[in-house]
Amino acid sequence: MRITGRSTRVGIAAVCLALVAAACGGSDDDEGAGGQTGQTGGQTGGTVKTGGVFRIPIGEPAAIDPYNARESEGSNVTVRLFTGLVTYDGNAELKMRPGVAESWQANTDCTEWTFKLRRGSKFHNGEEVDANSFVRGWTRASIGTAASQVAYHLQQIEGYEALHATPPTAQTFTGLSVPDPYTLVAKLNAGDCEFDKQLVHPVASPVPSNAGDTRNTTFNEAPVGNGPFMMKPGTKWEHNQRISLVRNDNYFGKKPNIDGIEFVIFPAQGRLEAEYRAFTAGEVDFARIPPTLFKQAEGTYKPQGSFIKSEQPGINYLLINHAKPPFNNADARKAVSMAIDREAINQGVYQGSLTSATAFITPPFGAFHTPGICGDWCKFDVNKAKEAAQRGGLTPGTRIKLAYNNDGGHEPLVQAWKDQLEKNLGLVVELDGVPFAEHLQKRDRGDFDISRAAWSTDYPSADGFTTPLLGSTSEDNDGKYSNPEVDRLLKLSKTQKSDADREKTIEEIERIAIGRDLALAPTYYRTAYRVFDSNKWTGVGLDFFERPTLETASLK
Amino acid sequence: MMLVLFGASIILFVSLFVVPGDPIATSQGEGRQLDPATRAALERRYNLDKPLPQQYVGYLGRLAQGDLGESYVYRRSVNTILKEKLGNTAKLAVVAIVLEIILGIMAGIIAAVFRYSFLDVLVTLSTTLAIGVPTLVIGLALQNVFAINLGWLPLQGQSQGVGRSIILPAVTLAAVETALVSRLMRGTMSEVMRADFIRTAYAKGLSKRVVILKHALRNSVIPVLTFLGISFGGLLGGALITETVFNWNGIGLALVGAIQSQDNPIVLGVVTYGVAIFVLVNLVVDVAYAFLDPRIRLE
Repeated sequence: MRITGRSTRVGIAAVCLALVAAACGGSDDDEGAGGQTGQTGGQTGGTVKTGGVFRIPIGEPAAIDPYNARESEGSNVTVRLFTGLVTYDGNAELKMRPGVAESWQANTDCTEWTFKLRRGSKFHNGEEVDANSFVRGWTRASIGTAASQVAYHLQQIEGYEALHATPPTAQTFTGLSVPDPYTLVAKLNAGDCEFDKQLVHPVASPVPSNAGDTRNTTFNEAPVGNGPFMMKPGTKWEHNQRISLVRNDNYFGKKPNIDGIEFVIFPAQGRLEAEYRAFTAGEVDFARIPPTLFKQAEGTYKPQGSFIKSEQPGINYLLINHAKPPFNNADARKAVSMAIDREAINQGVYQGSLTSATAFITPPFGAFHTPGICGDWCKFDVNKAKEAAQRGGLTPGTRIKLAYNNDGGHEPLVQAWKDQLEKNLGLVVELDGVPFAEHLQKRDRGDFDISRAAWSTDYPSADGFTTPLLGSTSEDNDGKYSNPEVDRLLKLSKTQKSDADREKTIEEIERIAIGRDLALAPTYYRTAYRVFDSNKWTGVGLDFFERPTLETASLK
Repeated sequence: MMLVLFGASIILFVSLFVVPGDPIATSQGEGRQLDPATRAALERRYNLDKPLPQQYVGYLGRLAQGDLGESYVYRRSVNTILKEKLGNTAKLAVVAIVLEIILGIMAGIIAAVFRYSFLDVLVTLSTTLAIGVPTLVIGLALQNVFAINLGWLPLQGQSQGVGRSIILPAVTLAAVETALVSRLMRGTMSEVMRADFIRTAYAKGLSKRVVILKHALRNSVIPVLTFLGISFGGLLGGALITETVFNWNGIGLALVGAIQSQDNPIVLGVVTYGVAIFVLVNLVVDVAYAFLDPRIRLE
């Protein structure tokens, strides 16, 4: 099913669904909204001190080798070890910056991309990074035998399907060519004017010639990259204990101020509480906040300048099944959305740490975000909800199934939804909670009426929201929303080179799909909260992907 | 012994692989659903594309060679993963057992010898408390007092050296079992102290110290030893909570994580190791009886 859909999914932003309220890599603690992406502990100017080892708590990663670094844990390490063709500054506008590529451009219909690489940039072992290093890395990750769970980020490149098949029917990408060692040309299956943005994912990293295949445990445990940090010499990943990195003084870009990073690995069970306790005991420099301690942490650490509040691209929403009655009717969908009091739930369940959504594309997307585009449908109004329910045939007594994953702490939220829908519209709501993997399968089968859902993107493109969730042929469009006009506009947006044109198209898509059809009901924008040791550090914030900004961090 | 291991492997394998669930989908974690090509590749890699009996035969074949397979989530050899963890759990269990033996037996002897005295009441009270309070609470309380408030010992992990780091988790792990050992010791010792041969020993003119340590202790320690053997299994079980609270990189922690993520090879590996160790320890205990009690040797 995923394969048949793949050609139609070209260009879909790499996406991760949230296991917990807080979407990819996050956790229940830090969902909400408000504030500017960035930091409270910003640098104040003057001489920047160098030195110090910044200690970050993480869970045991599945992998730090870029071929399969797939969750926030692994990619938090991998992005320090590797730098791809392009980079992205999470705190600036949605602009790409040069990485190993000094310049890059696409042909007119964005089906062919040419990257010009800088000369003399080196891997940590001294080997030069050239175009072949990228071809090697991308092929190594994409070949079927690698069974990479993130290789799909490269699926737009011609030849991916044959390479990624099990067993592989090709050994190389037909779409990649290297006219000279410092030029990389990538041919895509279909035009995508935002292909470059997708290359910020760690899977698009270069690897040196001795990386071997993905079963090379030496490389898996101590990857040799080209990034601003490298594995501390003589060390490798100490599983379930720590990963120690030191600054790469030969890095071609801006060198970090800190001497190194120590990733302190915590067990998954009770990790949130454990890392916060470790922070209070001074054993780590940075931590997430358990939801129950949110107010206390804010009260203690905000006055000290140790509290980080950062708006994130993710969104939480009410997924609605269009494939069957009653929600194949727009009025029924609107009724449900208007019958939910987002703000009361925010205050009652989340201690006011969220911001109710009024749009689908979230604030960190800057000009792509259109506040209020959801209109009345995202505002709590029982009378209007009842009227819409009547128009939509959603009569009192109608039984509906509300699906959610029961391993993410969402019970208070879905219980509140259930209570409000039963009280305000007289519906009979059946809660259907199962573990995350099973929940996804149920959604895929359409075995739900409404569902709790969350979404984020792995690269800074609003298309990472629109195409997967609103495109009629997208595999991730579990609600089966389908509108030919939206499909046409989605296709158009792919081939628009100018941001200004794309902004207009995306806004038009959102106006139709959300403002008119209410394909899904946005509920909350995601905000991440963290604490860090501001007595010791400055310049610590969170980037677009909720990672601490260690490129700006320095000793106080 | 081999029969027990074989039986355990069948029960485990069937219960893990027959129950509903999708370990490959679960291994994806928080991400989106797997594409079919990757799923096929993973199923092939872990032999999940074969019928269950064939999977089991393959598993037994590998087990016979000491190979426990590869973790679905971490893609590392289960042997490698468990080797580092087993060492850590063993350290914790050994320190805990030593604490149990020393503190538990001592407290039991004192309570039995000075029956109904203040010391006896103190032992009874403190053991009741240790048994009644959940391990999790004991662990968190010790962390709060000694790591966060006093700052004497590390809160979690082993980054400050095993010696310092092991104290709190070992005490937590040993707490309940120490209390049980001392209760048992007190009971059996009290009984033995009333036996005829003890009276005879006193009558022979032996000192109280010799009577207690040489005659009474030796005779009352056998049930305690049996209990310690069985409790070793309990220690491995109790380690689940202790290791989680103290971020102690042992097999308890591995098991909790593996069950949640349906990482079956790790679950199988941990339990196989667990059963093997349990069987071995009990064998050692049986042999120890023979040394302590000549009647068993004669039979």
